[in-house]
Amino acid sequence: MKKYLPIIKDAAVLMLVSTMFVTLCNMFFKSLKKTVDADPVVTAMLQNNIAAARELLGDKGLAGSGTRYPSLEAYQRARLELPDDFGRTPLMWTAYANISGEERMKKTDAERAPFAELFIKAGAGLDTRDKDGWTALMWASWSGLTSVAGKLADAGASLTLSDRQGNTALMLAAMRGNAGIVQLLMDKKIDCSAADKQGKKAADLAREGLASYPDKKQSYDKILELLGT
Amino acid sequence: MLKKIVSYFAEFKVLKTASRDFWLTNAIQFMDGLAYFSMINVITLYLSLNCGFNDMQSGAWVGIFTLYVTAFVLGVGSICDAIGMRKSFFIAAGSLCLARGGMGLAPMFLNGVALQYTVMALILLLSFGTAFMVTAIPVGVRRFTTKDNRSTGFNVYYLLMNVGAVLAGFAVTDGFRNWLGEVNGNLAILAFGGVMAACCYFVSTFVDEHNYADESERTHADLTRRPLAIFKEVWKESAFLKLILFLALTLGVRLVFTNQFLIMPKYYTRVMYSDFALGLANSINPVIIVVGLILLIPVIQRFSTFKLIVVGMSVSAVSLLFMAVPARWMIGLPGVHNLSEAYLFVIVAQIVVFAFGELIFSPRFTEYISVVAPKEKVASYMGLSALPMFIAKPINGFISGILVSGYCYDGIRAKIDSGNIAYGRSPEFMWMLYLVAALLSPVAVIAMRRVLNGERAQTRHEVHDIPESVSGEPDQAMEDSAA
Repeated sequence: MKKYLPIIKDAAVLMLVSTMFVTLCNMFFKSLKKTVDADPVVTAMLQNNIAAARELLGDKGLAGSGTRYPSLEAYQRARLELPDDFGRTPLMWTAYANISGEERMKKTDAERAPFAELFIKAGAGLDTRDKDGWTALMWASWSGLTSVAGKLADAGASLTLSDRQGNTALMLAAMRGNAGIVQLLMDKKIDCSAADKQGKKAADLAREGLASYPDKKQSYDKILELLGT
Repeated sequence: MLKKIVSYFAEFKVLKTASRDFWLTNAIQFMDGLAYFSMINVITLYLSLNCGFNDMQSGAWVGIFTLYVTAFVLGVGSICDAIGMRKSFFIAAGSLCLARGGMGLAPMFLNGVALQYTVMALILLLSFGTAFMVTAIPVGVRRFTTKDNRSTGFNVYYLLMNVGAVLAGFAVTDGFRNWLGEVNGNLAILAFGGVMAACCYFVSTFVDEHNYADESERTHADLTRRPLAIFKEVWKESAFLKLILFLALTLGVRLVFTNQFLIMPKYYTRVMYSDFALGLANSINPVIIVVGLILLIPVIQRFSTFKLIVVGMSVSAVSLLFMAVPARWMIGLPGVHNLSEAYLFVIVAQIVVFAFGELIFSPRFTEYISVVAPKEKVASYMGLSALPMFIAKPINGFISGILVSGYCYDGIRAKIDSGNIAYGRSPEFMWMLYLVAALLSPVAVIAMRRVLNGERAQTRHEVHDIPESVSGEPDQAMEDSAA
């Protein structure tokens, strides 16, 4: 054992130096940029763990938050309005997915819908906007999460809000070739003549999409048909 | 070309006489490589998606992982000699099994802060096990080969490491992620790493550590050759300071290696899509390295070490230019019709060009160290050459976290598509910052060439006369290839 002592001593010195170094780095870089911690409710949603999300929004979550909130409802509403670094709420995260495979997209949509329902019931702000002016419906429209978009629209989310660039949910869905969402919005008798800051309407964006993504011709053709062009 | 490939593999015939223990060591190396490279492909994604670390924390913790691996390698290097190879394998495989398996299972049972603290503890255990593994394997390869077949033995070792990296990419990483999805796929990849570590433990029980291929290798461990003791010996020598200066100047380019696992997985999945085949993308580099080593090395050995380092570093640095210019500029190139194809083009172009640069300069690093070091201290200098990266890796972990959280956050593609992201807020701007840092390396090396190239001129014969214990520097290679 004695022969190992110098090695153990060296290893301890290296560990101590490393730990001090990491601690200093952590202090320095944390002071350089303030970031919001990831939201456990969002993590639970990403893992499709609805029980954990319910728990975090339930009495246990309220107990863990101290005595700041007069009721569970107040806690839930406030909890679901907590923004990340870019102003996104858990409901917006639920409405976001960036998936190329159609099957995977359908599966994700089906998995996310109960979360959207849970958050909406718990009082999440339907028309809360992130830093670029996007609402949860805009995120769902861009992502192609049709069931989530349906839940939001049915719950009363505004269909006509636009972001800093003048994009509406309809334009984002048309741009991405998400025919299901365009159909959903058109069924709600939405005005499709709105234009973005560059003067482009949903139909123009769908045409551009068709030119760039000819593999999604069927979807874009359907969108153009729905938009009446 | 065919001739070169045939002659490369013909060389392996000398291993016919290698003992069973040599092949068992290589089996351990292969299985551990599969687990290590597949884990490193997804670790930042795992920390963010599965454990709830924000981008900054996940970058920082991967940086901390690399810091502790280097610290433990410096620390356990000599303890492996003292306790024996077999025990080292057991400690390594046991720790890795617990750490990787634990990381794979913990998110199923824990959440919130409890999960994060558990994962942090497991990362420390993971770095401990990784350090033991990368130190013990080359000891085994050396011990179970004779002087005649040792260099071929190490060639097999490198080949298997790279084959492991390729398979870990497109087979393990993409396989699990395609099968189970991004979130559960990450867990399966880590759990698979735990199973591989258990297999390594099992295989280790069959290794006879006393079966020296060359009896002259049977020496007692010299416990005075500890990293800190060596450091105290050499830190005032001008040659050592010159080496540290050289290594510090080249940090900009060498940090691009660490970005391969710190930033790229998030960059790929965020500017393309979350089900992007990131394993396949990460497999391109080792394929080019393996093929290049066979075909190119004999050609490029004709040029001077210093020139090759500068040229190779410049090529590697310039590779970032593809990702630093607005991706939309690529639309209109043959086969590039939309933004997704533009991003795919810049990703593949960067990987290929970087790999060529790496192929040119990376092997010459070891050679340069041997040129700078006084002949009797080559091994000491080699051992300490990890020092600048020891400091730079964790710093880059934190910096990458800050940059990713600001310029390549999850959801940025939606904002790019909708015209909400100006160049100054885009992932391209982040790469521009890294490009500037990387380009500083060859410029600084050229500016300081008189200092770096002076003093000790050596012939090519001397350069290749590196003691075998350090010529490969496999533990470093494992770390660097991962980085």
